[in-house]
Amino acid sequence: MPANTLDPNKWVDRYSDYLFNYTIVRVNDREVANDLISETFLAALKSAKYFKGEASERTWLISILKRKIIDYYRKINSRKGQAEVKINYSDDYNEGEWLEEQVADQFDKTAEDEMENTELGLAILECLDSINEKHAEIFKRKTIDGADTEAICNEFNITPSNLWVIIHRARTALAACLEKNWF
Amino acid sequence: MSNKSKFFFIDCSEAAECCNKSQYKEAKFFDKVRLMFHLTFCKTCRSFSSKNSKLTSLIEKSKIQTCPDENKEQWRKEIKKELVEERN
Repeated sequence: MPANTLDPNKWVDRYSDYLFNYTIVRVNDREVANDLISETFLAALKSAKYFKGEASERTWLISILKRKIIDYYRKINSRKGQAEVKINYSDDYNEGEWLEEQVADQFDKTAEDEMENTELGLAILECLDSINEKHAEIFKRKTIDGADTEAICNEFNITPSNLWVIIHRARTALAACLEKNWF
Repeated sequence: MSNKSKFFFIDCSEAAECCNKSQYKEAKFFDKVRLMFHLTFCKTCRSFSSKNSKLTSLIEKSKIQTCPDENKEQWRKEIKKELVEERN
C-alpha cells in the first residue's frame, strides 16, 4: 500500500478553503478561523516527522485543526469563568409563562439542515480534489467567488472559450462525484 | 445543413456551453431559445442540463466560501519561513 506523504508547499492551495469552511461553521468568526488555520499549519509542520502516512494529508490536517478548535473553546470558557445559570420558573407572578420558554427554539428546526449543508460544502471541495488544481482554482473563482469571466481570463491568462471548457469539465466531474450521495 | 436551419439547430457541445453559461446567467437570450429547442429532441443534453441545474442549486445551498487571498498568501509565507528555518 502506498503511504501518503506530506507536501507542505501545497497545503494552502490544496486545503485552505476546505479547512476554512470546516472552521467557520464551528467558530462563526472569520478572524478566529484564520488564526486557527494558521496555527494548524504551523503545528502540522512541527509534527510532520510523526506523520505515518496512514491517513490522507487532509484527514491529518483536520485532526490537528479539530484539536485547535477544542483548545480555542477551552480558552474562552476559562476566561469567561463559570457559566451563568438562570432559573426563573418559581416566579409567582408569571406562573405558567415557563411553558412558553420550554418551547423548542426555532433555530433547532434548521440546525440539522445547516449541518447537512456544511457537509455538502465540504463534499464539494473534496470532489474538486479529483480535478486539475488550476482548473479547480478557476472553477472556484467563477462559481464560489462569482468573479467576472473577463477578470478570470486576465488573471489566469486564458481565453473565454478556454474558461468555458474548463468550467464544463469541472462541472461534469463534480456532478459525477456528488451523484452518489447528493443527487 | 442550410444556413437557415443552422440558425435554430445547435450541436450538443454548443448546447452544453450555453447550458453552462446559463448557470452563471451569462447565456444570451437567443442562445437560450436554441438550447430549449435542442433539449426538446436530445435526451442526453436534457439529462446533462438537469444535472447541471441541480449542481448549481447544491452549490448555492452549501454556502461554501473561499478564504481571502491575503490570508492564503500569509499562510504560504509562514509555511515557507518555517520550512527554511527547519532546514537550517
